[in-house]
Amino acid sequence: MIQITVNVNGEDFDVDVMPELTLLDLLRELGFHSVKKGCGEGDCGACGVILDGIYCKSCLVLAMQADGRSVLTVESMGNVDEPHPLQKAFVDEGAVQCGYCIPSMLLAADALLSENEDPTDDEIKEALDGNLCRCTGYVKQINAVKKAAKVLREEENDNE
Amino acid sequence: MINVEEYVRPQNLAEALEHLGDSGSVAIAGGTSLALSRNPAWTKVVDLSDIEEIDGITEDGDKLHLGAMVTMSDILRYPGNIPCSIVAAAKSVSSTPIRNMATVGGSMVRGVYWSDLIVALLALDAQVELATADETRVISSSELYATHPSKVLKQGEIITGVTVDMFKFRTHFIKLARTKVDYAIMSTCASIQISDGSIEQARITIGGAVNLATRLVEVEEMLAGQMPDGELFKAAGVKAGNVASFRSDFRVNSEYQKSVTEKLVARALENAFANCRCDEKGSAE
Ligand SMILES: Cc1cc2nc3c(=O)[nH]c(=O)nc-3n(C[C@H](O)[C@H](O)[C@H](O)COP(=O)(O)OP(=O)(O)OC[C@H]3O[C@@H](n4cnc5c(N)ncnc54)[C@H](O)[C@@H]3O)c2cc1C
Ligand code: FES
Ligand code: FES
Repeated sequence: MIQITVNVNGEDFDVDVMPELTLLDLLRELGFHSVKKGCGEGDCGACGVILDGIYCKSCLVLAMQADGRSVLTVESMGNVDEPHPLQKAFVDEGAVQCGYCIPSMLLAADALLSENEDPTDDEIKEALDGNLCRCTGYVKQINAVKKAAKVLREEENDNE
Repeated sequence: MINVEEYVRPQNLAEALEHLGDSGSVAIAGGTSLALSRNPAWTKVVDLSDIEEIDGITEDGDKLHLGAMVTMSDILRYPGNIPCSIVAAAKSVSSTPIRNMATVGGSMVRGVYWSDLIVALLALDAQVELATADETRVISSSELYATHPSKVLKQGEIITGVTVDMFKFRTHFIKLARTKVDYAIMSTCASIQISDGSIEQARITIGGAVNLATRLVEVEEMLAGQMPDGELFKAAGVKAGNVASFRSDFRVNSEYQKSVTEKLVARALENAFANCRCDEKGSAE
């Protein structure tokens, strides 16, 4: 067992982990069920999280590698009562069906918009290229990201 | 990772090399291949991710240095000059989250047949910097890939970085895959140094369709001293198809690998000659 402290969405967790435990499995054990396990080997993208500011696949990160680091899951973005503009746009555009791929896809989109406030279609496709969706096809998410980007830009202008 | 008892994340290189000298120690970089390893031999994991000395991209005159911990995404974000074949290779690695994680050092040492970066680095005569707790040395990438890199690295030795010439070669990388995020069916990189209108020297590499990225020295020799033109490039492609030892796998047979090699080696040469210079960012096909 290896002792680690990991910060998830602002809260510290002190846990003892098996060396082979992945960050994905740890997060799910801690109750963050929005982080999904699809393939467990880096292909599907359902397990994406933001680790110290970088969007990555948590099935390819060992829990112990997250010691002293901070993780953001989709819960950090918003909730049903106060959805993030990306969450709202995904619903409004019909980009969500079963929802299995969505938490990770939202984080991928959020990572993109934090670097690029007005991405092109190609830039959005590239940012979401690690996320498989078996339900909706790959068009509505692109519209949703563009819509959310616009909302966020307008919010920013209003704040200035 | 099943028998690991200790995990350390040293803040400097000397400390990391000290840890790596212990038997049972293994270095972890991006973790994209190591995290899922069940090798029972590992008892200590040494995480390289906080060591600034082996991170970052720097320029020194006409040399470009990539630290071992530079990720594929770092390469794509770098605003300065990078040979366009390196950019194209980094861009063609899997998907954004994998590119955010996978490092130069990890990709070079893992040495899988689908590795894109190695194909580009070998074709630029990259010089590889290695270190153990006791010594540092520099070897050529050709030496690193003469056999598998795991056989070349000594116990406790890591790659600290690689250096390439920025402007010596015109260079072009091509990857053929079923989708943009899939492994290479075949990849190739052509680099040519032109002087007085003729090819002074060439480097031709292929990956994906062979067990480990390799230079095709016979093709390089055939190109040296020649005037560059379409016929020559076509003949070089045919030669590449004849001299490479294809791996044939469940996706494609060697006949197919040979035929795409002929075409793509010729195309990489044409594109390298026509346009690819370091100050023009390339893109993967
Ligand atoms: C789903 C998926 C798809 C992929 N597709 C592609 C692709 O299309 N093209 C491609 O090129 N790559 C691809 N990769 C990445 C590739 O397969 C390797 O996983 C990756 O290059 C390893 O880099 P890393 O930094 O994650 O290394 P790690 O997993 O951290 O380490 C790999 C090995 O290298 C050793 N190591 C790491 N750094 C050093 C160092 N500095 N010195 C000495 N030893 C070191 C480790 O001990 C380990 O043995 C893909 C990976 C995944 C998971
Ligand atoms: S679970 Fe499929 S990529 Fe991580
Ligand atoms: S909404 Fe079902 S997998 Fe994407």
